[in-house]
Amino acid sequence: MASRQNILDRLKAGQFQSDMSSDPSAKNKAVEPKSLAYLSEHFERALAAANAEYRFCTTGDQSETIVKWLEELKLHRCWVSEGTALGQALRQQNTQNIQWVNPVDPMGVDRSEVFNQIDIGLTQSHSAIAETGTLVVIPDANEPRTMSLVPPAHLVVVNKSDLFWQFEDWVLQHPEAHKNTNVVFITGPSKTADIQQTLAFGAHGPKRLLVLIVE
Amino acid sequence: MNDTQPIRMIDQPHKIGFRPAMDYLIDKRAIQFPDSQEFKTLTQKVKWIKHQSLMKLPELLEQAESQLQANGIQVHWAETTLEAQQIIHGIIKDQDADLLVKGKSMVSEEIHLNQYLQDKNIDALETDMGEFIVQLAGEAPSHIIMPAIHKSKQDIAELFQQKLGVDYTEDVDELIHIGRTELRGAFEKARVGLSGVNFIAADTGTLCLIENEGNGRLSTTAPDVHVAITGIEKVITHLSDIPTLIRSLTRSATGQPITTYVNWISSPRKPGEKDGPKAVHLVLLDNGRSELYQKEQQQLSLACIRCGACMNHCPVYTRIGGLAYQTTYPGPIGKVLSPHLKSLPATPDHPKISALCGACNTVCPAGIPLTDLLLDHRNSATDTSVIESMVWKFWSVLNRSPRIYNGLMSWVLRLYPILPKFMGGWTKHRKAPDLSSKTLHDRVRHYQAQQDRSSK
Repeated sequence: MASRQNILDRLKAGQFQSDMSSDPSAKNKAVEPKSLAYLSEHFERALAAANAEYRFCTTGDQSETIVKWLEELKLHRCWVSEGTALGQALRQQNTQNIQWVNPVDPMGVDRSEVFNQIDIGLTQSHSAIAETGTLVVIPDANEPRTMSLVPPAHLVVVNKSDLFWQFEDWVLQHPEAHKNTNVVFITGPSKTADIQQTLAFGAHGPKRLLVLIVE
Repeated sequence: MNDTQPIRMIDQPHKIGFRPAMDYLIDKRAIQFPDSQEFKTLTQKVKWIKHQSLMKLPELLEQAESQLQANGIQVHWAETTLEAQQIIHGIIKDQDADLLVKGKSMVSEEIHLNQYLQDKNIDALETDMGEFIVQLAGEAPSHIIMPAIHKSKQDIAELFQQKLGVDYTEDVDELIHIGRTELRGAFEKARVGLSGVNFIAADTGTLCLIENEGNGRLSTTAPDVHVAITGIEKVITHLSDIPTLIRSLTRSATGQPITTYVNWISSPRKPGEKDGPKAVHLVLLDNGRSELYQKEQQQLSLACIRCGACMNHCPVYTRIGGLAYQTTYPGPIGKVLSPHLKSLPATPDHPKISALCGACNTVCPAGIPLTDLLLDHRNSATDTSVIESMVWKFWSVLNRSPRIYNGLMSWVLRLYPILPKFMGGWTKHRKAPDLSSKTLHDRVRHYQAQQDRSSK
């Protein structure tokens, strides 16, 4: 504990001199509320710019749309929770080609199934940010953190009515968000430009990010 | 002095130069800030957030500590690099682990963690693609955001072929896939993961990490234990300030409106949750920062949010590359910080190797007056050498007194032909320059006298 005290003592002996006297954000103009149509249009554009793929559906045909999408992409082993309404609805779907896998204990002793035998993770999103095309994912006991991270593809479902305009708005309207173990803001698939500034997808996380917007 | 870090050029087998890479980053940033007034306003906001936090830094650290502890995160304080190394080694040893997977962390580079752990028979594996490449090559990162920016894809193709035994390929998608596959195995089995931290929110005890690849998330999710390490200056007052900081950081760094992942970690795995680390540790590193905090003006460099824009826009960095600096942080911010983290005598070239063009000042998202701080370093450095300060004093007297200046110059010109012609490095490869027989002052005086005569 000596180090802690030494560091704090030295800091308390100093004084940080700022040349600023007033908060520049005080002059912020109030952001006009955006219509849902505006948010949605902007969200689509930002998703495309971030190299995410997206489709629309309604609450009625959500499961059918997902099954069709997965079949088109020939993704057979889909990781989806049994504990969510969506996971239960998908398991009622009549499909021969897709196997629904429940995340039991993904980070247990044998991780090889998690790391090597799942084609896609399917999760819900808490909400989304229109300006940057960002999905807000809050993992929980039903949908653990690895589901949106380890498989080569991630399908995320978002309700159009859960769109926020900017990251700033989202944070101000969710003052309790930090009570979750983990909150992840996801914008597009995993990527890197570390080799000669050439963009490549699927560096470590999902190579494809599929977004299903429920209208 | 043995640990002096002089600046020297280091070449790569396939020399690509930094110019194209820097132009790429400069252009990407410029697209994100089309309106210079908007950038100035955003800079003021970031500076305000950082300054407000730095003004109450000791209290904020105490608040962050108690909040983090309440959330179940263990907090460690390290005054020196050795202490940080020992703390991290202790955590790994408690797990009986011999492998550490690492997300990107410049502070872990600063404490030379990999070398320390290797001596203790623990494999510290870099998982950021750029860091992985640099580690395979046995080098240090040459840029704080893009560690392998000095390497061409040919360099990397040869490196992977030699070290990983794969077929030679220059296809970037294939190279990244090779890296991914190689590192997946490590994520599958590692029981301890390490990461850096971009911001610590004191009010909520939240660690905020940003990244594009997903290795940061994997390093902080897959292992049983997560160790985060960062400098004490990274703590901010409110979690709600993070969007403003990120808005500026990612645009300044790589020209992205936001990174692929913004990761908030507020606690270890809670009962019922199926993954995530069971224990989270935060190591707060001082290593010269609290002394820097006591130094007027120089303390402004603690507002740095590590975007790398100053190096991208620096003509000196672009010419010599990041490895030449021989210190963890290169470029303008590295030249300001390194003398504090090491010592001014240990980094003698750092304050000097600058044209003071000020490009770094104009792009800094935290409004740090980098060239002022470099000049301040230069003044401190000059004070230490008696001969150098005498030379400058003489120069100053000479240039303030026309009579002494002209008198001395006329004697120099008269005696020049018989003076010895050794001028150090200059005459090693060249002959000494010929001097005019008259000074410019004489010639102008002569010319003016002629003009006066002809106009009469």
